[in-house]
Amino acid sequence: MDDCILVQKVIDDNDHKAFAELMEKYQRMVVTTCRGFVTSYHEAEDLAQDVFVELYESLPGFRKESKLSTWIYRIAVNKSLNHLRKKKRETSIFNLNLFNKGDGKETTFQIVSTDDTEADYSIVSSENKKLLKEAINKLPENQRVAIILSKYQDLSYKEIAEVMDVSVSSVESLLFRAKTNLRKYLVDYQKK
Amino acid sequence: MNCKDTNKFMLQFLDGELSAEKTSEIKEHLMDCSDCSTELNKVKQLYGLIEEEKNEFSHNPYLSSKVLNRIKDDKEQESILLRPIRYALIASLSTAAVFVGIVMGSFLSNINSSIAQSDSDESIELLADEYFPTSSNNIYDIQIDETENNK
Ligand SMILES: [Zn+2]
Repeated sequence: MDDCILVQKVIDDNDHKAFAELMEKYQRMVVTTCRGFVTSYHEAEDLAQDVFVELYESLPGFRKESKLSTWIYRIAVNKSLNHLRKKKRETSIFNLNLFNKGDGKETTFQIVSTDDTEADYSIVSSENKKLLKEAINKLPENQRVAIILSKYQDLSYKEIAEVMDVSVSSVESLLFRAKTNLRKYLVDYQKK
Repeated sequence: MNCKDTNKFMLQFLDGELSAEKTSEIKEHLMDCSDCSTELNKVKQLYGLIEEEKNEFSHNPYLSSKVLNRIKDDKEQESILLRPIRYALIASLSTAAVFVGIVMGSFLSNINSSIAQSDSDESIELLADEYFPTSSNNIYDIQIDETENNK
């Protein structure tokens, strides 16, 4: 069924079946977008639930001239960023209280080779994924959002521009800088 | 093409976003420079994990019902928990305001009591708004921390 009809049913009749249909349709999009920001799949699924709760509450304010997917992307991006900001605050408070030895050392990562046996692959891959995520999360937020929408969702420059409410040329430059920085961070982590 | 530029544009190279000219220059450099091609392989391995994470998705048949339960729970909590609190708060504020009104009234005998009453009504609204802010309207704009370097 058309998004507009479903949205109208949710707003007018508080139709939970219609909302469930919307969630089924957008589950992959939301989970995968959140996955771009967070370290584990499980975390991404939890965030996706928050995104849909917020979507439900926000639907009456949805302007129908814009695309529903754009609206959902915005909620997903904001939820993810807020989640990470909160986590960062908690971690820094935790570190300050308990482990303030003052040596200022960051966690170091070792790139793990995938030449080993099949059984080791998942461990290796999850270590490397952690490394990748550390690097992505080091990017300034606007570069991070742009690269996640581009690489995890294959959105076009124009679509990213709509979600982020910036011009197409800024998206272009954000992505370029994001990639240059990300390459640098990936290499930095390997060298530690 | 030198090592520095080859490294700098590695991800753009992997994504096929460079001009044909630059691309062939980098390719040429990679054939001659083993350092850069080793580097490229490492970066490619990590960058390629994005594709893997993208494909982790598996449809969760319970996600929708979990969300619907939360929506119902929120509604119930709103009616069971929040409303009485809201009313209790407003009630106690009104009581306080009426009390203040009476005290003030007894001191300032020449102030019109109806004005005093409408003043305190306003302050109740203000206070209640502070405790239960009407949902802010900017939450659906992306809120990005613009700092370039947030180390
Ligand atoms: Zn080189």
